Amino acid sequence: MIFPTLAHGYIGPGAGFGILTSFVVFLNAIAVSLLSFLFWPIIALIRSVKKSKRPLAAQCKKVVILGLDGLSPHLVEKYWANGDLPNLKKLADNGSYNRMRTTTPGVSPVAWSSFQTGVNPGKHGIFDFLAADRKRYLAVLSSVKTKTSSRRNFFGIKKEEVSSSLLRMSKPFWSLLGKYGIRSTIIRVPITYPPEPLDGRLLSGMCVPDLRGSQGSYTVMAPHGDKTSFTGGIGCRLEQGEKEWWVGSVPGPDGCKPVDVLLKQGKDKRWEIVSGDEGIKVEPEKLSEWLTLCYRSGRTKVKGIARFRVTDGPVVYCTALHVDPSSPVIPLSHPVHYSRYLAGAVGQFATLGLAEDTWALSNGHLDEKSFLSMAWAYYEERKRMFTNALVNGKDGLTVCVFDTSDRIQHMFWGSGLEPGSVIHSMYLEMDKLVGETVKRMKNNERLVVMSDHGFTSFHTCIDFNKWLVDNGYMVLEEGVDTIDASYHGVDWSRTRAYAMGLSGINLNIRNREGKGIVRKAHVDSLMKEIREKLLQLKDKDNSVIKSVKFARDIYTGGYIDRSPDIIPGTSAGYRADWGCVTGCVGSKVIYPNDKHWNGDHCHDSDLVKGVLFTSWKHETSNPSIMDVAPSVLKMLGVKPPTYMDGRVL
Amino acid sequence: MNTLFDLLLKPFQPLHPLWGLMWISALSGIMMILVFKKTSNQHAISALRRKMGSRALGMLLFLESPLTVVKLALGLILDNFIYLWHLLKPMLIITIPFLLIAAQLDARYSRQPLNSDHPSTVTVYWESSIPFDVQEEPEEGVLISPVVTIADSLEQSFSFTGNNGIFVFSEMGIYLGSSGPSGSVCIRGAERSGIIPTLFHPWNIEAPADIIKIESFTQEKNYNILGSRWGWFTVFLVFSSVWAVLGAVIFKVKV
Repeated sequence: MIFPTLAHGYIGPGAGFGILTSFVVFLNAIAVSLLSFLFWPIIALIRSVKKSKRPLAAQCKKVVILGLDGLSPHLVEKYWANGDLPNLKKLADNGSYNRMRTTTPGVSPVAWSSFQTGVNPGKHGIFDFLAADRKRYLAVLSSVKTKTSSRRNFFGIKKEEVSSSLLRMSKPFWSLLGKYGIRSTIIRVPITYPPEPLDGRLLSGMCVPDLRGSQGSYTVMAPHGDKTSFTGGIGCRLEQGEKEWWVGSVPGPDGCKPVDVLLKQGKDKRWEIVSGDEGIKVEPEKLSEWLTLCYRSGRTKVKGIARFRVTDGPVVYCTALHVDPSSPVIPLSHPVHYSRYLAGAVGQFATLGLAEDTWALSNGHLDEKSFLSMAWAYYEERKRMFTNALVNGKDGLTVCVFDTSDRIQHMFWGSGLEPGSVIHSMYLEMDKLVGETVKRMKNNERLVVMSDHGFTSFHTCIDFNKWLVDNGYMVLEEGVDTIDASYHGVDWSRTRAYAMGLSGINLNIRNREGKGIVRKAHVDSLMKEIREKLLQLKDKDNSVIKSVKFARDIYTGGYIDRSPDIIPGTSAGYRADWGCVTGCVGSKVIYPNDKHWNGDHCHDSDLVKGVLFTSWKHETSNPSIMDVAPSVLKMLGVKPPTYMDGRVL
Repeated sequence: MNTLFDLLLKPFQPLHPLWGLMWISALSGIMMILVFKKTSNQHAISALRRKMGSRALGMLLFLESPLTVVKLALGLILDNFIYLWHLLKPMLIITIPFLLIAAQLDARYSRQPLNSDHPSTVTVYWESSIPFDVQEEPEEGVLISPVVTIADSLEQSFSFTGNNGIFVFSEMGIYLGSSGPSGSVCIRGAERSGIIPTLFHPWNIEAPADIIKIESFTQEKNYNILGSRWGWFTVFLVFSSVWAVLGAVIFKVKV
């Protein structure tokens, strides 16, 4: 014996803990497996009792819904004519294919809310990305309300807490499935933040904020840059540190000290990026992997993740600070640990609602190649989550929405649709995804492939507020010609209408708006008058407005009062300009769109129908996005509630 | 090696043995956790830990499906082996210095010096024959029991008690026990030299030519901590671990 007798089992604290925890993990794995087997009969019994209460006979064991945001029927059919998209064609031939009616307006928050609830916007209360705070004439996020409250903790210390609530009304159809013991896995369906409890798992999608509380604010750091803010992001200075290191501070949430990021270019030209004790390496001009940035607010740690891109200078682009899914500071999923599970199972992933950084491309801080690599990186993350859900969800409902199709069409519509174009390649990739999904489907499972809306071009901006000013419906204060933000300079005592959001005109109604002047008795005539004039709006010989609808005519339900009063449906190529969405007034009513964002769907809803593929045949003509929810319910043996507006396919 | 450690441990010699041992344990714990950080693949361990955590959460998420749970459990066990593989390199690197430290601490903190209350037993293993003229020459105050001789196995055993901690066997001048400063080596016997015994048995001295080895069984030293009696190794294990945990938090080591 050459070694001290007592020391045989001890190999230093580090490895010692490792071996000890490893043993605990081993025991845990065995114990939970055994528990699962022990409890399984009880769980199965409870579920089968619940399932036996279903009023209808289930037509299948499992339904998979693959949402491809913005997939356009026009392009699908165009590419079919070239012999492309074989998997979608096969799905259409073996099942059904339709152009699917979207909501008015055909924008994602509205359409996906109708998808998940089976009701028209008047019943779920989402009419646009933004809603009007009528008292203060402010554009606020339509789906989430964030509230800050203070509370005293156990020691009597006052602590501020931020809580969010979902403003989408009505119930998503998966919550009805849960009542009958049918589990659901819902991944990144828009307007599911904050996550609502359900029998199953849910990862929130569109409207999840970044760490700065915005819907996506990136950071650009450069050696001579001053601290500035611009649409979509902020600029910061990059300082020369010691030993060839560059140091930049990335501002985080309010009340937290910015986090330093250190950069150094190695001999192999790769950049080393370090934050805290974590570091990554990235090729010049390539988008990095995720790096964790840890902010501190008092004793609370706030963790975010970001990707970086370094160009000559060096100029450093840092994506929005996504909430770290493995240590979420706000609830990203239900149950809360589902996002942690996914982060471990598929790797770190983008959590921001609108993850692809379209503003960075529009502002020139990202080139097209980098934007595409970002979009496809997020697509791959989503695909891994979807595959995980398909493999682990043996029955019930699985829904996953891919945004890549929407973002790429927004940013690359103008660069062509022909074979070989970015958009064509994207459609081929989506077709491949459909093919892979079909391969995983079994006989007693059904597949729905759908989009919430289609796409058209966006070459010309319409400033509805300027149009209202020109036509005397909005009056600016004396000396004010244009407005940069939130109606500052509008004379509300003489204003009868104002545009807000991507597709809405509100009347300044007395006792409804903060400084309303339009009497209820005059509402009808004013709306008709505005409609007539809008329909006459021309850009050279082209009609700019295809339709003008009144909320009261097209919506039913208890939340119509949240809707804009008038919904102008623009012709293809024309869309509300960027400023009037949030209360700006420009100098021209019609002007060319010079932004990279050159494809859109905020037009007359008939122009932007979505696609609906089902793996079974149905005879329903002209289906609507509201039809999916009742159809899936019936398929899984649950009677669709009568309040739903959709029909069973 | 003993001289080197005498030098290294000199700052702790004025302290009470327990305090000395606690400080040495603390420093060893921090040193070893830093070595672990440097020699392990921290990035891979971090990723693997996340993956393992995810599998464990997955088992809770998919409790209704035993097959999924078993799949995740098998994955977890497999990851566990990968994790152990990641531990192998730092473990091997830490083993040698750790064994040296442990041997030195064992030599210095594990045994009581000779005292009059507890007899110690000494066994001498002769190489070829037992000399008949064995004469023990006890120092003043040392009492020796009669020698028991086992001729077949060439062994001689006797026990002794003493106060000053020094015992001279025959002409060899073997000092058993120690009355030196805290943390000095307490000699327990003799053996034939070689690199490994020299390094890892610092409590033995070189055996004379006609003796294979001498073993002594002296009383183990226990330390009183909050009313309970701890062996040196327990003290070392607990305090080095506690400080290693603190070190891991402070130096952000992924274990």
